[in-house]
Amino acid sequence: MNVEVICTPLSNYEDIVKDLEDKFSTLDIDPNVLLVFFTDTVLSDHGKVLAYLRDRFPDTKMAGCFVEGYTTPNETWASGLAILLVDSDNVDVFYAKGKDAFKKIGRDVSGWDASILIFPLFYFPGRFEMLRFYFSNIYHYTKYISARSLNDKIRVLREYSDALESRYVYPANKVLRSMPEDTDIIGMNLVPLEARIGFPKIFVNYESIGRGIVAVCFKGKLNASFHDVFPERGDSFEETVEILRNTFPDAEIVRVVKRGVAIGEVDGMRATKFLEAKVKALREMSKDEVLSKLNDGQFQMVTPYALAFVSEKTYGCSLLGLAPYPLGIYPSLFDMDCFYDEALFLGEYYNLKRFEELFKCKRFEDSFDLFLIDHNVFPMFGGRVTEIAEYAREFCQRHLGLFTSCPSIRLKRMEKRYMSEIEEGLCFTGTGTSVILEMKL
Amino acid sequence: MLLKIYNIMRPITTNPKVQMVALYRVDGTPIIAEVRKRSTRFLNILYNLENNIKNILYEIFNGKMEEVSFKFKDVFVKMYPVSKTIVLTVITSDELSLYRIDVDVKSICRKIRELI
Repeated sequence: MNVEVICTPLSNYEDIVKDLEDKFSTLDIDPNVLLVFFTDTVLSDHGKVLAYLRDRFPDTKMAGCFVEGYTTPNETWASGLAILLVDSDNVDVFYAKGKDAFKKIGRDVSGWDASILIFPLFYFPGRFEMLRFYFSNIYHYTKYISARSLNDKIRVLREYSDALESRYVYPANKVLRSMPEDTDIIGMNLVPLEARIGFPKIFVNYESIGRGIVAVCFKGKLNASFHDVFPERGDSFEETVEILRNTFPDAEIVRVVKRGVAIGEVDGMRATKFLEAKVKALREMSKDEVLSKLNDGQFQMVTPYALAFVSEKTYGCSLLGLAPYPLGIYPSLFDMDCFYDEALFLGEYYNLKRFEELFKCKRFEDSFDLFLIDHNVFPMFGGRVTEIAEYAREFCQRHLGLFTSCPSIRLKRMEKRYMSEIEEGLCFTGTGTSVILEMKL
Repeated sequence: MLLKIYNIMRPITTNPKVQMVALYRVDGTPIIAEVRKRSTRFLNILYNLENNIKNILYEIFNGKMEEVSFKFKDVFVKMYPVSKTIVLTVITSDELSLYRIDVDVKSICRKIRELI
């Protein structure tokens, strides 16, 4: 396997092409797979760049998406794009679209040693579809509040959850859970920091595929490792809650009515009202405000407030961000059926230094390493994220690091009792996670 | 040398979210300045920065301030020390992009430092 990384931090099409041509000319590689990662500054020209790459590598399979930033041994950027060129018969790209895409992709992934799944956690379709999402939410919430019993409420939530899953949400744990057990799965589950219509954008063979899943599969000497920034989980619900309370001193227990990926109420109120009651400085956004921000690409998906759900299966915990969206039923990015109805409301905080531990999980010395870091470090730490690049330089010889949304993993066995292990061998939480895939050359 | 520094700064000068980038000498003289759109507004800001830069640099180099940022209505200005004698100033109208620009600026400052 021959792997090379090139990147350009420039943002104009002409500059990008010139810079890439200069860098391609120095490489001695005939890639059969290209992985292309754009950042926000190339948004307007990414189509032209894809067309250029298609002309440059017409017979090469391609997969890619937008990320917040990237780091290589020499540089760290939040602009331009990074390209991973792979020359090997042991790599392939598959994709599927639609509601049951993850079931279809599961069949393709089987038999490979490791696979990176690129998929949107929440897909923002067109403006019309977003209006439909909003009115469907109001319709179901009206049904929810007029339901007479808890069972009726749960039935409405189930119905709405199914509707969400069919058009907007791929629940992270459900996708990873449905993958074959013989393959290590790395989840590049995308949710942008600032959303816009048509995002997250995922590409296969130089085309955007809309709401779909891409699997980049690898065979050979590989090692996938995971790390989260939280302390190890407890052996019971009470123990995990105690650990979380010690980590987040202001955390308080709340009662949640939920089913699938839908939250009906938190402490007897709809989630947004609950958040407003707890954080006086926040006010609920209006529908028009949301649509306008989505049009401008400024709809913030990042929030310091979260609900921490404890898993009934492992006593691990997964965080779901709470923001003042104008919604009755609050959507979740993971399937909450296997979580307790009691959750913790908390404000997220952690230390950047904890990401160093990801690199200490490395097994190979002379490998090429592709690692994913939770992009929440951008709004939390700003320019300090370059410190992560320094940790990487210390432990990795050749690498490409991507800052993307809360990477997840599904392994046969975990090395530690990670807080975010919410099902056996499956780790996902809304922030503070990182994953590394070592590829032995 | 100036051309090399200018090329190092290209990632932020070509960033569509950035309105203006300027590299100032310690006495307030701009060494390189690139404005995305010509407007008297940015000229006024440039003029204002020139007048204040000595004091700001004094504070930065005395270790009292690490970075300086301020806001003119809907324009955000951020100043980063590059070396003992120069400071990089970035102006954007998109507050949300500031944390991304922060990352790019750190890389650029490191490269300029290596060069000079």
